[in-house]
Amino acid sequence: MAKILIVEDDKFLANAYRLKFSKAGYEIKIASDGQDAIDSLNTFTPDIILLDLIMPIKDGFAVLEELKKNDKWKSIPVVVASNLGQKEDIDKSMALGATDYIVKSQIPINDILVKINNVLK
Amino acid sequence: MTEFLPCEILYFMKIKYKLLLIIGFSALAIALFSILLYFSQKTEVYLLVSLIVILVLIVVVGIEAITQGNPDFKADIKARDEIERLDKSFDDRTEKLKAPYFEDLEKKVQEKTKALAQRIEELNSERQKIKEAEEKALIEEAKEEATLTSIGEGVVVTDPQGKILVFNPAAEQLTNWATSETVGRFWFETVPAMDEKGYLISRKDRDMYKALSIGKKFSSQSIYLQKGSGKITVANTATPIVFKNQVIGAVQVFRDIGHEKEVDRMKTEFISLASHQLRTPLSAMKWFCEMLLNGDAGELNPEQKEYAKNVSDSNERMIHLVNSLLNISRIESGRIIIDPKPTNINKLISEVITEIKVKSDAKKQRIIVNVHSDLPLINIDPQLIREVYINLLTNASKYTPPNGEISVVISKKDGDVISQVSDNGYGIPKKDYDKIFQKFHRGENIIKIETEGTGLGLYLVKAIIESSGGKIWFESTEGKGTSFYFSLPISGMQAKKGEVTLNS
Repeated sequence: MAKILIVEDDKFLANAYRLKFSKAGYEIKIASDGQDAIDSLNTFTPDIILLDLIMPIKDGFAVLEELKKNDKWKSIPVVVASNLGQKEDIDKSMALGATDYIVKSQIPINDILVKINNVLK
Repeated sequence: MTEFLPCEILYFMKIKYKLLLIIGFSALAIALFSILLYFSQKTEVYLLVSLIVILVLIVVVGIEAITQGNPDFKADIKARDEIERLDKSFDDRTEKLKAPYFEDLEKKVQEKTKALAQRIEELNSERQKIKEAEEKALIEEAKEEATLTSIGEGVVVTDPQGKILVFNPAAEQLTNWATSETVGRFWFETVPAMDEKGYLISRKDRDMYKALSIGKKFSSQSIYLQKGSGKITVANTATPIVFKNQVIGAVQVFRDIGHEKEVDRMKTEFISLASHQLRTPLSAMKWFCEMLLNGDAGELNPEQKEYAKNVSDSNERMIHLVNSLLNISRIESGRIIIDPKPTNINKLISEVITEIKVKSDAKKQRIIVNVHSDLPLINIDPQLIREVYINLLTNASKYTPPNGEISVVISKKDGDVISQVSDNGYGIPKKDYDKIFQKFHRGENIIKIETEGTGLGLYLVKAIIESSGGKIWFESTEGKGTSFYFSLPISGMQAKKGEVTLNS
């Protein structure tokens, strides 16, 4: 069973993820901000991370930076799912080591599941 | 000023000559009379001679009077016929003499008087003009002074070396320097400038220096170092003052753009806020509708599906509206990135048609494509032009009844690529012609038929085409159909650095 860490501060979106991914057979951990995500990693080692960008306390860019600096975590694939869709946001995320970038409102949740499945294949 | 013309001198000489003659003649007459008186004691002879002498004298006095300038003098002698005739001849001569000479003189005097009057008049009018000009100059000066004082922009005038001559109150306020401190100093040294990265701009690169040395207008944005330690972001323009092909100074105008920058920043912030805060709940609605319809929460019966479908469609419209508003906001801010790449238009159109085919197929519409066979790769921003085709084709399908026909024709004309998107749909009413590209405008005839639509599509299309150096126009007959045309230079679009992209 694949393990996914979902970092999303909006509880409705987090709920949608939980429903979709649990039905697809994932073991899920949800973090509601960047710091929560880093803390979760001490007890939960995911196969993949789905990461929002704009969040309180610590944003997605900072999380991404921290993950890629840490030897233990740097090989975990990170898919960024944000509603920021500007080229500079995408470029910055990819430069920081993201595997893929998703603009949430432009994509069905099923497509996100497919993308995640593909990364893990 | 006395002036003797040569003929006048001659005339005087003649008068003197005559006087001499008269005196000589008189002396001779007196001498003759005395001799006769001495030799003859005869009274008759004496009387005759006396008479002759007197007559001669009268004649002489007459001549004298004429020559002395009394033309009215006429020898009034009534004596014997001979003498009368002589006298008459003198009178005639007087008249004759009087006529040309005095008429001439009078004329001259008249002319001179007239000329003098005219000259006086001229002088008066000139004096009046000078007075008016002086007044006008004073008014201009007052106006200039008021303008310079009240204008919100800093104005600095320098001599050809860049030494400050004029420094207005706004300039004082913007730089913290007082006019009295700056006049006579070099502008470049008094107010140093930095670029946006914080590097000091060298004298040679200052707008004022360039305006003075090159003789052209220069504009830029920079940061001025105020007196003390303050800084101010300004937009400045330096214009040379050219007189008789020589640069005799320059005018530097600058204004504080800190506030504009702030508004710009707020607009950017709003875009970011809107995209994030509005899209987040919209995304949640989208996904839950999707999962419902997908049967994630159990299979829906047809009625439940219909309800969920309506929620989903409305949600998609909302997402589309937010995206359109964001696109408008981006393009209006002028910060849009134009990133031209050699593009195969044929391929681009095929991709767009694949995308809109879902909708046109549902309405059983036929799409015909005809692309010029010899079209090179065109250097355009594919993302922007794709947006144009998508909007035009979506409109064509949306505003054409089922079983209608849509055509796309790409041709070359002069230096342009012309794209034509036509339909045989509802058409545009004549009274909507001039509003068709306005923001939020929707044609009256189609609002009733097709409720979906933001009225932003054509506005965005026009903005994109115009920022790409192209033109857009249309032909339409209500009830028969519409053709939209747009041209793009075959040489391609100009790249623009910008900061934002569409649809993101």
